Parts: sequence; structure tokens; C-alpha cells
Amino acid sequence: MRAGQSQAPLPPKWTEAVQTLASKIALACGAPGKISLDVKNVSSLTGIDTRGIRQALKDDLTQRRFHFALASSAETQIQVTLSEGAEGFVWVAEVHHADARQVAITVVPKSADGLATRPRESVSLDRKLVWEQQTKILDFALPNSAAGQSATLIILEPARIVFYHTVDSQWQLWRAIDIPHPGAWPRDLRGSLDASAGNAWVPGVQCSGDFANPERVECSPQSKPVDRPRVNVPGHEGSEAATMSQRCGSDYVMLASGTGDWTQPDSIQAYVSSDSQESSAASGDPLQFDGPVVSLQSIGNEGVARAVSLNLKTGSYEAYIVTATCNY
Amino acid sequence: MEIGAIVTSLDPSVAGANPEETSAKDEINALIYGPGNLNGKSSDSVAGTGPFRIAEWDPGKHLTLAANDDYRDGRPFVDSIEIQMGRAARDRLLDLELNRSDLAEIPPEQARRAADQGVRVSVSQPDELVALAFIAGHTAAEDARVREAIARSIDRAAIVNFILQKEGEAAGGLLPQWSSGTAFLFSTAADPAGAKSLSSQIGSATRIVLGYDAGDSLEQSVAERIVVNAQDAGISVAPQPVQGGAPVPTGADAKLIRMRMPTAHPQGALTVFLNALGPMTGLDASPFPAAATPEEILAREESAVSSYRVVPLVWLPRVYGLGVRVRDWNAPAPGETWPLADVWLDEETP
Repeated sequence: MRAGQSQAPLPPKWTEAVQTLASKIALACGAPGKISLDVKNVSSLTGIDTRGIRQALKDDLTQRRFHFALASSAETQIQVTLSEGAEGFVWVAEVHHADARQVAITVVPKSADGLATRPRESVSLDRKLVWEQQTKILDFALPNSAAGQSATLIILEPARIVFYHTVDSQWQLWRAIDIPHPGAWPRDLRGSLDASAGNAWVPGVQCSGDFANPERVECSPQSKPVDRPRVNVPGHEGSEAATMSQRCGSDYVMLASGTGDWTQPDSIQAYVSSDSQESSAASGDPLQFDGPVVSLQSIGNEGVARAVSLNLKTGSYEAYIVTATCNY
Repeated sequence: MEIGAIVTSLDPSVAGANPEETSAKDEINALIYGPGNLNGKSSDSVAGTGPFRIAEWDPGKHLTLAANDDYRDGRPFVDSIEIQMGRAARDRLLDLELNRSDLAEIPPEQARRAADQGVRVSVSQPDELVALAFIAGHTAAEDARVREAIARSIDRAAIVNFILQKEGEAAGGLLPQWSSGTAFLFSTAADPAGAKSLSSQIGSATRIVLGYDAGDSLEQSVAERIVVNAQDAGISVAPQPVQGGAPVPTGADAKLIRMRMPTAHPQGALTVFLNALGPMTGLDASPFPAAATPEEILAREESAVSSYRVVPLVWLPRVYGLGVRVRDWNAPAPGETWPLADVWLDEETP
């Protein structure tokens, strides 16, 4: 993934549309004053384009003698949504003043004149099957191995951590560490591995040690629940999600599974966002899976993620490495 | 090809007996006469103007169309199309699974099951609106609080998730997001508290009779869901099955309707919808000004929705099951008909 790129000027049609929208906003406000401006993208525009349009709109309104403030202290709150319809991009401004709401809209046709200079920017996803088994997989890891040493695969199951290493290029069972748990597991059992830090978690239990030497890994109950932050892709809360460590340009890249249930095939889609807390836009084609994606986590600074899926056709849990490539 | 409708006449001047037949008739006539030739002439006088011509015709049961070598846009790739009519959805799906059929319409709520059974499924943009229309002049329906209370009680998410099996999307406005780009401005969330508050003002004696097409299992399921939601809000709604084709059912205060987008363009589609809804509901169906602005189109849509005389419920896609041999099928866009002239069959595929 390449480093950030400077903002290119907007195509002429877009600049014209921004001016039209700003003019309508100014008309709706009545007189220049203190306003707040929030811009949200729900269209196929990229994060770069969204930022460009936001800045152009802000610059235009500044020239019309509007001042910007937080929503709580502004006389007028303006919510701009960059949307899309059959006739082109549809940019909608909701102008809230006192208890009144006015809506201003500008439509930007998707003609070659307006958009030919914009290259198609997208994220390509690829996956590689690492392991499959009938027993549930909560997470897995492929720690880096030194040259000349056999590779290691670590599988986190509900009841144990299993270590495999390569012998004659074949995975062979090396060691299994039991995970003690006094009570019943929750129905939505989750766990995670951080092999480099030497930690593994399942609810109520933490396993720590040198994962390069499994005999030194020990598991102990945790009376205090381990708080594992959950990644949410804006607009796709509830899906399995992971934030990739590196960016496309200056955009954050996140992966999220679909919104189906555990009886349906699933997918992993890449999303880009100018700010990980703001709305995101799908980028590139999704990866398809033959069952639900039950775990999706990112790996350190390596620009890859690990996904676990339940194949509904075979009944096996499948562990994949997912890579994302910026095409811009 | 298999369809559920029973088409008894191919004469463009003869109306279909119900919406399902009318829709299928339009699709078939576009294959025979081509677009723009549906001027009321019988098949005998204008045969040969479309990509296909009638080879065999058993009204209501079976139609065989042969490729028209002289079609102005080029002869279709396939030599002929056999259309079996009146096939139940379950049988159409089974025939696809057993490779006894190359193409069949599938109800949207069956799309997931079809895909699970290994059938190739083609899904269009959601372009058919299912809505609740209150019939003007009926006492109960003329009370705006009644209409609003029922509208607020409806759980669209449950309709999409459970009845449609997630094939479709909740509708808050009269235009889908992919067309207008402004559908996000219309809420689709249920408001049971607001519904109950309005219901307490109305009184328990109010009872709404809700008509639905007796031959449409989807409408029946949606009607039953509305009955439950309204009951939770303290409003009595009684479902009434209606024989298909009856425009305003006797005794019904409201009716479920299905309207397909005639065009992808928002103003054109909204115009057709309001023209269809106006006489039944009393909504303003006056023409738009020439070159209506996006704000004017939105304002008209908001006016219709905020009156609660029509309550958008869900948007449905058109779903087709494709046999293993079928190539180059593209789900028709709004206003388009079956693209059978462009389809070809891969005979090397077993």
C-alpha cells in the first residue's frame, strides 16, 4: 500500500456542483452566520474525493462569509450527504435552523465530461486457505519463523491451543495445550491469538508464554474479563471486522463480513474511509465464502488479516489469510 | 422457460384479468411485437415486428416462440422459446434444480433457497414497491391519526428479514435509493411508542379492513404482519383477501398494492406512481412542472408520504433462476423486458 497522495483538483462539473449547492445552502440560511458542516458519503465516491468536495464546499461557504463552529454552538447545522442515484451523484444538504429544516439538492451527471479524469480507485482482496478442520477454530496464527527453521501454525480452539510445525513440508501436530474452563462457554464463543506478544484469550481464560516453545505456554483463569476492543466499520456495525494496519493513500482500509446469519454464505468486503470513525465506502469486489465468516482479525503491521469461516457444504472450519492490495 | 402467470390472450388490446397476467402479457408481447408496436392490433396483423414470432399457442398453458429471421435488430441467438404457464413457484424451482428448465421467475422470498439448492440466481435492482394504500372516502381511513398510527406501527425490518428472507429492502419513500439518491431522507424505522400514543387518541372502536390479493402469498404474509403490528399498537386491522384484478375491494379501507418502476428516472417513476395512486387514495397527481428540480420532486414525494395515504413498505427485486446452459442473461432494468433476444445457450454444458 502506497503512502498518502496530495488532493487533486475537482473535475469542473464537480466544482460547478459544489458552487450550486453552496449557493442553495446560503439561500436556505438567509444570511451569513455561524454554521456547522458535516459531510457524509454514502456513494461510490472515494475518501479522497469526499475530502475534496468537503473542502471545496467549506471554501465556497467561507467566501460567502459563513463561519464554522461545532454543531452545539452553531446557529444553523448543515448535514451534507453525498449520495448517488440513477441520474448521477446526488448531493443533499439538510439545513437545520431553529425547528425548521430545508433541503437543497444538486445532481451531478456521471458523464465522461465530468468524471473522465478520475481513475477508478479500488482495493483488491485475495485469500489463501491455511488450514481446515471439523473442530471449531476461534483464531489462528502463522508466526514468522527464522530461516532454516520449520514453520509453525497455531490454532486456537475452544478447549485447547494446538501447535503444528512443518516436517517435510507437511503440517504435523507438535503440541496441544488444554484450556481449562470451569463453567459453560457462552453461545457466541470468541477468542483471539497474538502470537508475537505470546497471548491467547478465550472468555475467562488467558494463555501466555513463549509461543515458539509451546511447553512454556500456560493458561490460567481470569476473574476479570479481558476487554478485547471490537472493530466496527461505520455503517456495518454487527459484522465481523478488522482494520488493516496500512492505508491506501491516506484512506483507512477496513474489512467487514456480510450481514447474513450463520446459515448463509458470507463475504468479506474492503471499505475505505477518510476517518475510521466516519462513514465508509465499499471498494473493490468482495471475497465470497461458502459459509459464515465467524472471525476476522488483523495482524500487526503486516497488512494482512486472518479470517475463519464455517463451510456450510463440508461442515469444516477454514482458516484463511486475507491480503488487501491498493490499486491506487 | 416457466412462469406462474396464466396468459389467455396475446392480443395487446385485451387487458389481463389480473396484475400477474398483465405483467407476463407485457413481457411476451414485447418479444412478439417489439417495443413501440403495442398499438392494439392483433397478433395476426403485426406478427413479425418483434424478435420472435408465434409458432404454437395453447392459451393459458403453453406458448412456443420461434426466432424472427427478419427482426430489424438482428435475429435472436436462440432458435425458439417454449413458455410453460401456470407453473407454481415450487415446481419452477424444482425444474431449475433438475435442469428441466432454462429460465424461470422466482419469488424474491425464494431466492435464497434457490441459491442454496445450487440454482444460478439473477437479481435485479429492487424496483417493485409494495405499499399500503388507504382508500379515500372510507371513514376510518380518512382519519389521519389512524393512518399515521398504522404507518408508525409497521415493522419493515421484520418484513424484509423474515418474510422476504433479506431479498429486498425497507421502503420509506416512493422511490428507491438507487434511483432518487434521496431515499435515505425517509425513515423506515417502526415507532411503536408513537403508534400507541396516536392509538390512545383514536379509541378502540376503530377497525380497518385491509385488502390483499388472494392469489399472492407474499401480500398475505405482509398483511398478516401488519395486522400483528397494528394490534400491538392497539389498532384493530382485519385482513380481507380479494380476487386479483379488483381495483378497489368492496368493504376494504386500505389495500396492499405492488407497483413496478416503469423507468429508472425518479421523476418519471414518481409521476406514474402518483397517477396510479391518486384516484384510489386522493393523493395529488397533478403533473410536475416542466424541468422539475430535484427539490420539487422530493417535495412531492415527501408530501405524499407525510399524508400517510400511502405507506411505502418494501422494495422487491425481480429474481430469475437460470439453467446451466444460459449465457448472457442480464436482469432487466426498470422499463425493460426479458432480454431473451440476447441470450444464448451453451450446448456443451451438460
